[in-house]
Amino acid sequence: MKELDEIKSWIIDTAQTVIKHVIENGAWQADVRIEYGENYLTRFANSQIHQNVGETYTKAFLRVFLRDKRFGCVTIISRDIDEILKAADQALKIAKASKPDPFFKSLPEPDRILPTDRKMFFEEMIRLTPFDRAEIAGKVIDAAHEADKHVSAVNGALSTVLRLQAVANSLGVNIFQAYSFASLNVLVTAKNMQSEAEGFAYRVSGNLKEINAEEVGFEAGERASSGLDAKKIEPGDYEVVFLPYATATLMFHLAIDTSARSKDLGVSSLINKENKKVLHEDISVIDDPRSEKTPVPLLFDGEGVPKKRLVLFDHGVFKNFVYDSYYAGKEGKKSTGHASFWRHASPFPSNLVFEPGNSKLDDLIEDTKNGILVSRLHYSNTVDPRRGIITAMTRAGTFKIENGELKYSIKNMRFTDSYHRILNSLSILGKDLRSMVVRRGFITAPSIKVNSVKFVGTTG
Amino acid sequence: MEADETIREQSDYVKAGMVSYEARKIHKWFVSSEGSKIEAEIVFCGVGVSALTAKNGDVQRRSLPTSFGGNYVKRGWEYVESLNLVELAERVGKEATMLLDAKSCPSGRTTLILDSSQLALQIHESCGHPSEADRVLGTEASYAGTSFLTPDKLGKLKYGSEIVNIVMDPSPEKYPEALGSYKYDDEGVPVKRTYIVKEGVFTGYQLSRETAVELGFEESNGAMRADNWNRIPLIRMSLISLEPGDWKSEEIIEDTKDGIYMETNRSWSIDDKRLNFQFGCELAWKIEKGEKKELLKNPVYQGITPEFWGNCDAIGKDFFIWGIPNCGKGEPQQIMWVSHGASTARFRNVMVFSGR
Repeated sequence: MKELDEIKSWIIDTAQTVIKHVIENGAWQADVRIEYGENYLTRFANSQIHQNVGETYTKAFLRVFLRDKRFGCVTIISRDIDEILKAADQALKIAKASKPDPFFKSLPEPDRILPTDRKMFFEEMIRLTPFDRAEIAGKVIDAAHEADKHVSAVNGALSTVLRLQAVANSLGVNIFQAYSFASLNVLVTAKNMQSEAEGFAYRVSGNLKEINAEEVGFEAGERASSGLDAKKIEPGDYEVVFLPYATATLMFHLAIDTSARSKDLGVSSLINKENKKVLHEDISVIDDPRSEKTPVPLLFDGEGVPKKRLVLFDHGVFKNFVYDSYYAGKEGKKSTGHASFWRHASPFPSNLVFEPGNSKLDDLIEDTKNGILVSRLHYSNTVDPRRGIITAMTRAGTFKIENGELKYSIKNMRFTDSYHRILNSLSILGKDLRSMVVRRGFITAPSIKVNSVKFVGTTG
Repeated sequence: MEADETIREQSDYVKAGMVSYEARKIHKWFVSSEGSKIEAEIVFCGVGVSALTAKNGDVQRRSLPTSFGGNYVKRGWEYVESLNLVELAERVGKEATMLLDAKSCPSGRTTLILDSSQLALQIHESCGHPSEADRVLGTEASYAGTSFLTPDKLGKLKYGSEIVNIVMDPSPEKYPEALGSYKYDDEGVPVKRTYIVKEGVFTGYQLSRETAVELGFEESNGAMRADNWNRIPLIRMSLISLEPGDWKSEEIIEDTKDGIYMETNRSWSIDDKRLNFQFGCELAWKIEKGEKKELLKNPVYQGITPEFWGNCDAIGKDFFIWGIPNCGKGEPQQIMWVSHGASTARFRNVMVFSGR
């Protein structure tokens, strides 16, 4: 820990040094984020570890603004203060070569960071060795094979992450946070004489001890073996039960549309929808880094603005876009604390929580007359951003539901449909929350049952 | 900046203009305990312009020379100077505005003609990825998926029609400016020209030393690449191309009684085995009696990989190599620069519809 304390002091001091340097050399305002990170990954395929990698790095992202609103930014990966200062000089050069941005108002002033009772940093994660991770991977693999004799290959990755982050700006922001988390994703393949199937399970937690490796392996193994002998069904409009892993993908597309940048570019499906009912009245979504439901609390955003609970959807009514200081300034609003750490002007929710309901998964299935259970979505992409139309394939556990019962496994299917329409057909909200790391943040979601999803194709 | 201003001048409906430029210089040393000592200097840049227009709740985008950051080549600033960015900017602003008033693409099975930039992405997703031997052998299963091109299909599977020849050929002597060309991979193996599909039949993989042995090949063909010094190499695409045919691109259109011509990618999605795909493009033209008759917006097409390629009946000779800088793969994720050569090509009986 002494070493981490030294690193903490270094990144805080370096952030101040960088800001002082650029202000002395002509910047009007500037901010910098410096992150020390440790990432370790044990990856397994065909039931054996095939990659075991780790890295430490120090990365800085600096923005400088001249008085006439010309702006430049650089990113550098380095622990060498001279190299970082050279990069800072580059940012100044870029700013001098740019056009003024009339929409930039100001970087944020310091604001009180609300503390959290939740533990953000678990020291035991730092002390994990490759052998410790291998042991956990072994438990996953063994449990998956024990789930069913048809399990033929266990694949996945255990990842542990440590972050020490300092943010400083020329207006006095000078703050630090440290957090750690672990994630485990497992994809199991099962085979019999005539078919092959996959099953998926996932966990993420700030505390590795909260991840039950055997449980995850068993879940994926069971799901895989249940998927054998899949039948092909016709595309069409079906009721769907989405497991939390799949609901999280829908949420990701919702999250893109809540960004003030998407609004500004004219590509959000939520434009002109503030305080209007957009989704089913049972749907409430918050971005709350302090919620017990999100795996890792975060104290501030990439500009040092305190992170606070923000309601995005309140009983179906869209309440708030998420802002950083750039888009907030452009619209005459206050930043909501959603600035990216590594990109200029790209606000995004970091700790989304889809408030759960009270129903068990069995209740959702029982309520379904002619539908599909979707475990996970693969390769989702936006087709028409203004109407919220997305496309995705199902993957790793897709089942036909008839008259309230899981009947048989089906081949993966593609839907192309509006997530607004899908979520507006919500029938039942599950209480089984699961969290995932989805590209730019944590998303926590329950199982949901919806009455209508338009499937347009099946896999070959 | 002039290009950026030009985009906005084209109409009041232009919501955003984007001009992107990226340049990279990489100096790479590879040393192995088996005696390899390889030094390489790689310079590449990419440039593109894009316009976003909005009207009545509709948003359209138009990008040139292609979408998502533009085209990338192994050249320097002279590449940017060789393109008339201001002219491209004027065109994207105008076309994105025209698209707002265009009719939506109709739905149904039809004859589809793709421009070479869209076809490059089709090759990438439906041929490049499934022929990566590590995907085939399951080592990428937990993330990006596996492949329908299993070893039992090698030499047997009818991947496409007889005119379809897809080759891995990253030779820097032949294609010095192709983004994905190189002489030695990141295992120190010299690259080897390999047909992945020959006369429609699936015939080859992109290999590493390990996967070559596992799949019964004599040697690797040099497809292992790492995106940085701090990453282990994975099997990555290099330069994978559809060999050109005999048609002039305009002849393919003239020869088509009824169909849709689509240009420039807008969205993409494909399943974990690389079979079921869906692509959206920025614009399309309704073709009637051999002529582009009507501009269409929000065109989308879907298919199953071997059925789609099996219905390819005309390939143009307007071969062009497109550079894609951001192919993602692996855990931790690596971003690799690759390229694909493609021409205008025609496919029969493809499901198209409007993504709106």
